[in-house]
Amino acid sequence: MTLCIHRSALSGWNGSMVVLFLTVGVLTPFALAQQVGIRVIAEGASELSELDLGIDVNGIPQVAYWTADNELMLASVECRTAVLRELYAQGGRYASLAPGTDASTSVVFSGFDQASGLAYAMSGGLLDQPAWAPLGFAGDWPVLALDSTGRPYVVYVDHDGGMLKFARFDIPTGKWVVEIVPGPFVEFVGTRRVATVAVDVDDRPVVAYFGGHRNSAHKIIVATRTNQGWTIRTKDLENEGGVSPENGLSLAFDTTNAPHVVYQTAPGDLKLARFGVFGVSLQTVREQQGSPVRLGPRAMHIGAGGRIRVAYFDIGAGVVMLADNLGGWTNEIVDGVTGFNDLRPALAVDATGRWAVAYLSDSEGIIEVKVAGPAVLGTLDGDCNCDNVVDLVDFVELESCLTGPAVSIMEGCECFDINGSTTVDLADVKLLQAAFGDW
Amino acid sequence: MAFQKAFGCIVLVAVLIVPVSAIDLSWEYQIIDQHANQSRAVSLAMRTSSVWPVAFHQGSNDNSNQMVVSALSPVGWTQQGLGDLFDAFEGGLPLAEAGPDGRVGVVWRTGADARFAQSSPSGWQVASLPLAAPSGPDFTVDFDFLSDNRPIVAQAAQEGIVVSVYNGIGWETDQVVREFDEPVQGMKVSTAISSQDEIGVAFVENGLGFAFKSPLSGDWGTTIVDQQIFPESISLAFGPNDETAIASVENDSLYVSRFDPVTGDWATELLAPQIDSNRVNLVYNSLGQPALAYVVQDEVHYRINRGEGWLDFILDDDPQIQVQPHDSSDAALAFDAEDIPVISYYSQDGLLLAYDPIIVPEPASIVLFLMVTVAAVRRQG
Repeated sequence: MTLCIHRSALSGWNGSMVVLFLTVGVLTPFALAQQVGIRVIAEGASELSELDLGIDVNGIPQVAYWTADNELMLASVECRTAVLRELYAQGGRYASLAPGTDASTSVVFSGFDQASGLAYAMSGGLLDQPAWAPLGFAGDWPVLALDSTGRPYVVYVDHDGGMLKFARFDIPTGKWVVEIVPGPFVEFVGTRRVATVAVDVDDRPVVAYFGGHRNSAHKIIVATRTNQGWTIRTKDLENEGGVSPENGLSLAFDTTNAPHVVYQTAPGDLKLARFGVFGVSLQTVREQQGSPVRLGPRAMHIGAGGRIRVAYFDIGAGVVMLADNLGGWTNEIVDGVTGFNDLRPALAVDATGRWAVAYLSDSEGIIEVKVAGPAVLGTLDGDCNCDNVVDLVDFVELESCLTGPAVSIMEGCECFDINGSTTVDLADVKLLQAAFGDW
Repeated sequence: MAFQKAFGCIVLVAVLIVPVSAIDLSWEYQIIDQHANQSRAVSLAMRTSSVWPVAFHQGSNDNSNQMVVSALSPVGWTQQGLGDLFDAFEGGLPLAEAGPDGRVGVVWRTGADARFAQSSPSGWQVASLPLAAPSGPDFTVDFDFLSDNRPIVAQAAQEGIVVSVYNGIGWETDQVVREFDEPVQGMKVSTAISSQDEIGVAFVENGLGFAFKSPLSGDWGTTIVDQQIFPESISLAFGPNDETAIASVENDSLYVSRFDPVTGDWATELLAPQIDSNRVNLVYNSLGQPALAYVVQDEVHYRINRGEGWLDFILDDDPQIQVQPHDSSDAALAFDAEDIPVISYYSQDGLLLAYDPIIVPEPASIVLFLMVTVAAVRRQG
């Protein structure tokens, strides 16, 4: 059985008294579609900004981006608002973000001026204000991962020697320690994120990267850093036509701790390599049709039951895609997320499978930072408690805010001014009623 | 032949005894706060599954009347004030613990109240507790976490010991010792939680005492641990299997009292006849081995009992940092997730963290080892 609210109760609203007709109806199956609202969280971003996104332990998306004024900013996309914090103000590039288990957010970037090389910024958690510190060395395309206790691991490209390097924070000395990731790393000039790092089920850092010959990558390499050193596993994909490293790769683990790597093949397919106990198996996530397009996997989530979601961007079509292996791979466009040109969007999937995308959008010359996805709360008109659905709870809250067209909006009731008239009146009730239609 | 056997035995005995002083521990040092007030008080805990060290101490310069927390993170050491502190009060000295879920907390006294602070995902939370009355400035407080992460705070007062448990909304109090035979000046108290969430309290009245709340009756039972000592500082700890010990400092002598479940008796041993630290914190590692640290003149001693008596390690020098401790500095001890000892104390270079000993045998040890080997070979020959 289910409780229903009669539309007539809303349409007959007179502003003085609410009469809700609650009836007990027969349960009917319905599908609650994932709402993909879009929000602008900041303006004035650098058009060259490399942004990144993560979802913290409280389910709040965190976005790191560079402004046109060379500030590294962190935006916490909270209920109907975005709280912006400055992490670094002296210019730089790159931004790799990782939320910590203590509700802090960490960002690794390459800073100019004081930082002079790779640097680490933190906000939230136990810090009363954001703080940053240089790592003590320079590099490109850093990627950050944190283990369950907040220990950071950074993988980056050292162009001086064309090497892939791995850095970790050594707690006993309080310093960063750098080592070379072993294996035939291939440096591709001008490409991004040719390596990534993630933490496996046993809390060990694992690096995935492309290997092969210069500008001819045909290997996926998974390197696990244990207390005894590096354990290397390699999958040679030469017979598959090689790999296309231009848009990077993504790494995640299933409950058996098997690494999964998503990448694009040279012919253009999006593939998944599972490094199991008895070998590496391949699946096609998306088969290339027609002329090759550039696909960049940026986030992957594997549920407890083995369900895999991959979020990636399709540069050719200018859209963000979601792939899902439930009953076989399906690939769907995320509606409405367009207009980022060649600026890469960032994607994140939280532990429950809710995803979010952050991207840049040019609005009459002003670069906006936008977020979208089910993990972004408060994108629906009338959803004032930010649970991504307009329901009776919102309606009851509206009741206390309803003052009619002649009275200015009360403090704390701004959310219910759906039509932006600076009052909460019957017109807003009508819009809220319309939002109920999503059920 | 007899000489060879005797020589071998002597050398063997020497090897068993000597390693305490013959093994050198190489420590890593970090400066937590170069400008930290040269107070003697510091307390240490490891947050987030015993990984990240957190030190609680008096603030520096303009913040000298503040309780300050210094926390290590990938951006280095960061400091933050937690509230008023009056270092003139003996009871104001901070005492820290780590909770089961990785949070850390600290308790201290001001002139007006007792303060409890703990880490949380939204930053530091600070609560005020009314002081148990009547009590003077040198009455101490201590705390520990229950398995559900609720804090319990023990306070000493002239007329008894009060334990407060946080129930999620407020503090519930219970009196452990309702009336002392005679009012005790400068009452000291230390508390710890057993593996079964039972509250233990150590106190000083007619000697060193111990109280334990019965899980069956809910009543407090008290026992006299040692009537011969009246410590100025005490520290109670339970091991992972409820091994029970109390460290105490009396007239600059360091004692450790341990309960023997086989005999049912407490036994007190003198660990060091003369130390400069006014207080110590006793901790167990995950193997149930008790340990503590203290300062003697210009040395920091780390002591641990691995079942064969108390080992004594002296922290070594460092070419970059002045590691000699300040007189009477605390040497706060904690173990990380891998049972590696971590010690915080004051030196000329400020508040330091010593970490990660790497055992490097000295030539003396190597020579002894060779002698034993030779003796053993000769015996077999």
